[in-house]
Amino acid sequence: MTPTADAPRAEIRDLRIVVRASGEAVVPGIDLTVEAGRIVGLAGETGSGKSTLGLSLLGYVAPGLDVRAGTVRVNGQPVVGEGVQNLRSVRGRTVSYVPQDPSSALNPSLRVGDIVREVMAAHGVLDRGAQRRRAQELFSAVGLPADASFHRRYPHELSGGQKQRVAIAVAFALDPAVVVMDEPTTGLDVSTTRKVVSLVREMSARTGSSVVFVSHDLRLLMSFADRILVMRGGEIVEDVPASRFAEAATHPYSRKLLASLPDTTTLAPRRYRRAGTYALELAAVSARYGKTTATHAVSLRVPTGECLALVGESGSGKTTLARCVAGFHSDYDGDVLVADAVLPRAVERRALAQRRAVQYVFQNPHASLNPRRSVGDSVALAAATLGGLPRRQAWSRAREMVERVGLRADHMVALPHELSGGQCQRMALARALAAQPDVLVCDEVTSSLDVSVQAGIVDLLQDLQKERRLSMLFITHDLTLARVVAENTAVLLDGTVVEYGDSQSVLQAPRHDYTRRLVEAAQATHDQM
Amino acid sequence: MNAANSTPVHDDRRTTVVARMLRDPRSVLGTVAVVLVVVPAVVGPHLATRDPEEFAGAPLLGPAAGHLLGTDILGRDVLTRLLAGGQTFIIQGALATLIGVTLGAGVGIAMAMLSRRASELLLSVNDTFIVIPQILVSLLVITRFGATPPVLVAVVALSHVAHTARVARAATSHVASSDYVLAAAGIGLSRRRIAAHELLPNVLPVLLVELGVRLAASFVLLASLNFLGFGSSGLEWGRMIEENKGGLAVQPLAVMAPVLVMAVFLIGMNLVRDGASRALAARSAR
Repeated sequence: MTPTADAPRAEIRDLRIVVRASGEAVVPGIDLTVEAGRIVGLAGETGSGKSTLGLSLLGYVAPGLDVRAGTVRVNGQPVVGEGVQNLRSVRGRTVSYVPQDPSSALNPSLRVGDIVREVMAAHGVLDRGAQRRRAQELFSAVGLPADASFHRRYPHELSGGQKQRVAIAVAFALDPAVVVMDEPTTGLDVSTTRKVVSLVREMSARTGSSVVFVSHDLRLLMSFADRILVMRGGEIVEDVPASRFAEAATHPYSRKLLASLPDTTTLAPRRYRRAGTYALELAAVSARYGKTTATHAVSLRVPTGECLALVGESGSGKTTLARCVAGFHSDYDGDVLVADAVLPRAVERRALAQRRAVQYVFQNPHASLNPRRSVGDSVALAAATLGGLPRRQAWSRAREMVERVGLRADHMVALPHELSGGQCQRMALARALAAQPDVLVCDEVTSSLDVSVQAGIVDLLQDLQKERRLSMLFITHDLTLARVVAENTAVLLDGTVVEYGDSQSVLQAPRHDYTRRLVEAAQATHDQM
Repeated sequence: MNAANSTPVHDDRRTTVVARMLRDPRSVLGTVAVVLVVVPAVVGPHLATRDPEEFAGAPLLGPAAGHLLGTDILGRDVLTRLLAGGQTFIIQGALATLIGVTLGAGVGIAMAMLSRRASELLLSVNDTFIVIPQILVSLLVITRFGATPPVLVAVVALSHVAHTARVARAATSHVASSDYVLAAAGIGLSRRRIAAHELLPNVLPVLLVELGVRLAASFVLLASLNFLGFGSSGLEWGRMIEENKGGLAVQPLAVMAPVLVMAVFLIGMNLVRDGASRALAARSAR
């Protein structure tokens, strides 16, 4: 079979992949055709089989999984099923791969120039001059500096966005028929993500390569893909053009995904209450890491019972500030005040009542629970130490909190790895609540979760805030989310507050250039809907 | 919220580690080898029909009906001595390892919990101990205090502390920077409770592997000391090798038997340790 220009670039026929041990189907039987030059978005939650499907295009099946039936062909060449031969000559040349985490994808001991040349050498481009010219071409195509000194850099000398650009350059190096991208923007901040996806578009247009883009971020896919497939339980439940997704998606699950996107247009403006006291106050906090200063005299106030969103990109110092509040980072000048009293810098030196008053919920729920202790014990431990409760009462307080966050008592005997990310985050929240805090510090609590799970957590936080008059410091990189949860928003850029006011006006009339760019980026993804 | 209500799946972690090891031919082989050496060594002294010090025949006889492994350079029965010499050797080695690794783990975890400057200072002191040749220090101490069982155990145990402390410190600093340890500090747990309940359970897999490595090192050091004549009973496998090396050409079994027994034992232990670390790694990977 000779592929012509219009022939499909990738064809999956009746693919069935099962777990070897249990025989349970991960992909129960899928057909998929990817046309030339198209960008296909694969959306779905963790465990929906989207990565398994994407990787099958490379002829790769994760250990523990077995292909039971079906074929996969890329550019006419079989990579799964009958007649597979020499996968290595196909991978990298006909079909290439961009993984989720660029820092683990790039060999840390190779210079980036060599990383790009390596794939060419593997596929018979042996002339070093030709390799160098092509590498130069690729680097300038993906918007990286093309000068020789950049080629000599090591991956650890690049930013996350630059690393992902290098990974993309490697993927497009030999003009492959299909490029598979597995959540390539997960670790990146909003504006870098926008740049990366427009780069993907551009590279695809330039080389005619088709792209299969796996992501759990529906909003992102709607902004740049040609076609969106929604996966659920291994099946493709939706397959519509991206431009018409909002209207044309009919499957209940797709509707649910759509509904769980924060909608900025219909949101009623939150009223701005002037409370008498401040639950939390930061007075000219300058946090340091050794000799480098992470934040510059940041002053913020959270009125009692309200929420302040702290928005900024990775590296802006927002997490550092949150850690100063919690006492996990003690190298700072200035003061953190809770209920008008200055807190000691290190958490170890804070009195029990002061520790109880401030509770912290971490970004990664699995990492914040001791992997060798049942989650219920973790919650009860907080109730026992901070609430001063005896064992039995601590456990019943824990159960009350667990039920309050929407889990059942029988979840409490589980170990963290036995729960999903959303369940774990609810447990972490239950632990924080068990202490009966006055101030809750939420550090990107939704960013590692799937969209529909995110919405549930945000709802829960809002209910809790109202119900318990909790004051919150809500750290996020997502401006839209800030507006949904917080009365006030502060925007942080390089450790300095560049915008601070009620969320409504920050979003509608941003004063600083940087905020304007953030708002536009958020708007641009939103307008595609 | 269907996501929030799905029931968690349970697995019994302990059995999966053992089950994994049972499926791995290397760890099965290793266990068999260790059992083959340890069981006779422990019950050996009770099995022996003659006194290990008895002169049972002419010196350096080859294997024969009365002497399955022949006689040694003084005419004593090699098999009897082999059976008698293992018990103290294995008990002393195991005890020394347990003491040494426990101490080292304590020092390492404590180092990881100190401030960075103090921790680095102590680490460089610790590293100085690592580079001092263990055998020389051991010989010095034994010459001064005598080769009694407590001194031997102490010397071998101390030889492990610095090394294990380094490993434990590295593993602990990794765990100590994790969010759940911060969370524990945030809810007001004392340092001692953080060490015992948050850190220790999570560095245990690393310490178990270290225990295997140290166990082998204990026996090597102990056998070397025995070979050099520093044994508590004068009846150790290492001592047998030294005594009979003069008769190696005439009666090789008197030397080869203890060498082989120790080799089987050490190789077996390494296979078990290897299997255990693979099984533990597979568990934490899930």
